[in-house]
Amino acid sequence: MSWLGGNYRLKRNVGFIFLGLALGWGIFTFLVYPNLSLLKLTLFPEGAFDAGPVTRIMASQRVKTALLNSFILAVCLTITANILGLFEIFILDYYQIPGVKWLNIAYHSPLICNGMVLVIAYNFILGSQGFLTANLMEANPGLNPYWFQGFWAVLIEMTFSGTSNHMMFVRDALRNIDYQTIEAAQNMGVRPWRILSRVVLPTLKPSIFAASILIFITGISAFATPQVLGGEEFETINPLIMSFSRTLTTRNYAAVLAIFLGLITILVLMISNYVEKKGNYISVSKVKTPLRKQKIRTPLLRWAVTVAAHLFALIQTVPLLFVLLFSFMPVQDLYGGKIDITHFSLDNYLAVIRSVTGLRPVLTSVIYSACAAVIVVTIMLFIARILTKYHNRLTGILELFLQIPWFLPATLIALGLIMTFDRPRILTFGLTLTGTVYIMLIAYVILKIPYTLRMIKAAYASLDNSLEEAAKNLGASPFRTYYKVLLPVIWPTVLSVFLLNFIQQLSEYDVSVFLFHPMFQPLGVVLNTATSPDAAPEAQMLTFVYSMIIMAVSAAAIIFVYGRKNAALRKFQ
Amino acid sequence: MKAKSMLLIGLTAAAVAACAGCGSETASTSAQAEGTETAASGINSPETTAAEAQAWETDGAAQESGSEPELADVSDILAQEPTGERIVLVTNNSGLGRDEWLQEHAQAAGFNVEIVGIGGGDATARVISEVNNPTTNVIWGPSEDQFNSMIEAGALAQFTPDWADDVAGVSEVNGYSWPYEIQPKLLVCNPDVYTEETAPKSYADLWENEEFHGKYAVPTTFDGNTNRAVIGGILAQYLDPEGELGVSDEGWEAIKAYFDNGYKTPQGEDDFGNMASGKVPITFTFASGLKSKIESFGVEPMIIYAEAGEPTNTNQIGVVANNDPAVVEESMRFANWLGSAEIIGDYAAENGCMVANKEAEDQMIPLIKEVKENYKPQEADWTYINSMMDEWVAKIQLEIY
Repeated sequence: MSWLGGNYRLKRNVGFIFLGLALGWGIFTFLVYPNLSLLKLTLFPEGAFDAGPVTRIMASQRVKTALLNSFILAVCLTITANILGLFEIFILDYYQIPGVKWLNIAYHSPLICNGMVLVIAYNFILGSQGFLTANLMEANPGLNPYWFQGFWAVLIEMTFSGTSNHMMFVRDALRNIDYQTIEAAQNMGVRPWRILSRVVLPTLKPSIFAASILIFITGISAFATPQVLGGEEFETINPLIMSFSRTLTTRNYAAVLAIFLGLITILVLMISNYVEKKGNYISVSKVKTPLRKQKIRTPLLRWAVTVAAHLFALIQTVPLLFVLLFSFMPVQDLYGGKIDITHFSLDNYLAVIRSVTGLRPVLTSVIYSACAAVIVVTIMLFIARILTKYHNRLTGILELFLQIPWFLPATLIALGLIMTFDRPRILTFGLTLTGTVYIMLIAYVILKIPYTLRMIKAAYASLDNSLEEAAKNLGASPFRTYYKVLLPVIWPTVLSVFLLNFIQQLSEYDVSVFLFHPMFQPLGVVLNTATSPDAAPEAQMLTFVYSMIIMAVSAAAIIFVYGRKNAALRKFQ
Repeated sequence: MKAKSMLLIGLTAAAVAACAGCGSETASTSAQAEGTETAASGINSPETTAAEAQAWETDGAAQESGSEPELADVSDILAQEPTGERIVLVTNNSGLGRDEWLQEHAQAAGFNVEIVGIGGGDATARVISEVNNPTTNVIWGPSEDQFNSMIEAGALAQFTPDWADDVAGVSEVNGYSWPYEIQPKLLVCNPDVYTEETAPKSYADLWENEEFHGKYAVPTTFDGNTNRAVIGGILAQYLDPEGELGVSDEGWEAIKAYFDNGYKTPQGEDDFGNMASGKVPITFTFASGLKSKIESFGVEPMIIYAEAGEPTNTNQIGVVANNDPAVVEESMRFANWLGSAEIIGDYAAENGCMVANKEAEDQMIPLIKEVKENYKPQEADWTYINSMMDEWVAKIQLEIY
């Protein structure tokens, strides 16, 4: 019991035990126990394992193809989204390109548009009855109306909507590069291309790495895009899992498929963890010089890059413009593939405002998403710190548990929570959580754990150890060191994670539909009820109105957070 | 090293405490949990007979609602004026201003109701999973099949509305949920493309007759009532206790041919819109969808009345069991009011649905009156079909679609 010796030590350790207990309780209660009991209920319906679903699934050609497609998509997307994302951040911060202000706004557009709505917009522009397709077919009647369908369509859409991690994290890393290193290389006569590949890119490696994992996971669990743009020939696995998870007796199929998908994900994560540990990518610069923009010397290349930069900006913004147009249109024009300004009206907006829920869902979703984002970021700041400081079996298992929400279908997570907490539990100190306003908040936090953990861990990993050592040597307490030295350095990342979490959950549907409190319907639920097959065609137009609202809220959040983030970044430069 | 061992101890202690906690809890509530599990898996466990399930549910419901399921009591409750106690209605009938219409009328009648609009399947899943701690009070809109699974889970309170006799014979009486709307699934085609002679005569025509190949829309999702009923209507003609999942090989071939030769309407197209434009001139719809779809796409389709009849279900209303008698009683009064001839008649006149309440039939729109005269519910063992539907749909999704 020597560690109880010093009074200070004692206090610190009591604090540690308390936090450890709280953490262990939280993870077990909300993450491990509900999910394991639901899996047990679905996979062992009568106490014994039901092998039927497994053999059925193994025999299904459709499942095999879909799994393979998901994998191919994930690999290709990781490559294409990285190329596009890196290109865009270099355009914004590394090269001198005219019109950078507009490009900056345009490149941020994937952040604000709800994934499903963006795909729907793509489809109403490029799909078989889309506006562009209709015009193209007038010019060329021989065109196949389904030209924008299948693997390439899915990959293109997901690439252009998959750059948000580059925009938020890799870009920060680029801005943090010490310009002196580039200058030194230039002075030694190194060619621009070599500077890029040998000096700049290696410093970006940790953030590119983290972004790649996230993109891979986005790709392998792709849902909306393949469902809408994949067509019959390019089906992926997640729409099938979702479909199975929604009916009682086929939930075991969903669970089995999810475990398949989970195994692939875990494998990729394990490889990535291994690679991450091996690589040592710490920036050594103590006094950083801000990045200065480079001019592309070859005129032809400069032109080509400028044109490409603006073309990509258009591709990313035009669909959003269409969403705005759609929100004024009657349903007949939308399905008819024609835009007639004389038919434009505010009817869809009025329908939203007049409905009994009105604009309340906006407030509900803003509050839930903001609270969830704050909570998950706070907890993960603590857990990620532990995981980066201590590498052992226990932390390894802890990290594995924290990945659960990445591969378990959201529906199953929601059902696990609802069925576990529908009665007083000792784990929850005798409280019943089902039916309260808290259970959806808990689910929102759970869903965002893996992503938040991954990003904050990457931020800790890029921290310069000497900062911490210096603070310690100066006699600062660990808490003070953390709060005054380390946290400010990673603060921009923390803000970015908060922002992305907030925006993405504004339209959350899969868990919300089971967990929302009847008095507080979130946006995702009203939005999806409007698009369901039971809904009348006119009701579907309300989706675009809700999307406009979501975009407005997201844009406001981006402006708010960026103000703070830039202030934080300035402090260090 | 110290901090690390502390953390280890902390985490282990937490895990142990938590495990111990759930262990004792499992023991104390095992009876209850077992009940829930049986109910949840009741659909595919043949050993639980319907009668047993019914007996258990009745007990549970009676306990939970805190009111004796005696008919006399219920009619007393229904005779009272609304108290204005706040109740939550969960429904899939909330789109297109129907929620405003309902709230206005409910308020005028003295009810304080919060309307929550979600899909029928989601509403059902929600009521079932919240069986121990419900947040909703009245559920309006799902099919009798979905209501049966809610009853099996013990989620509903027994009640008989004043208008029970007016809907007699429309669906099997279960004592919990009552039909307000009949929902035949209609095969429809574009009247400019087909005449009565050239149009298909039955579903089987679609895949057996090559001229219809690629001309008819097939279901692309499998959780909606309409799509499931159409699939059920086809497989119902090939039931065979010896066959796989109770369907003969011929039946599986038929459904495969149905999907292989049909048009899988991609997102961004509307099957009814395609029918109206002639692109894919044959599709199907639920009867109450006709009015709004015709208004949206401007074409009144020709309805094909097949010889076998139309797969038909009813949409129903039920009261969710609750520990608070005041809430249950007000919920019963609300459900009774909503399904009454006057209100449901008004609703049908506005929204074009086929009412179950015979006192309200006069208020149906002419188109639906005509459908009601001409259609014939397809005769089949729908209870059995519905009990097999999830398995069938899983097979279709894995092997056929």
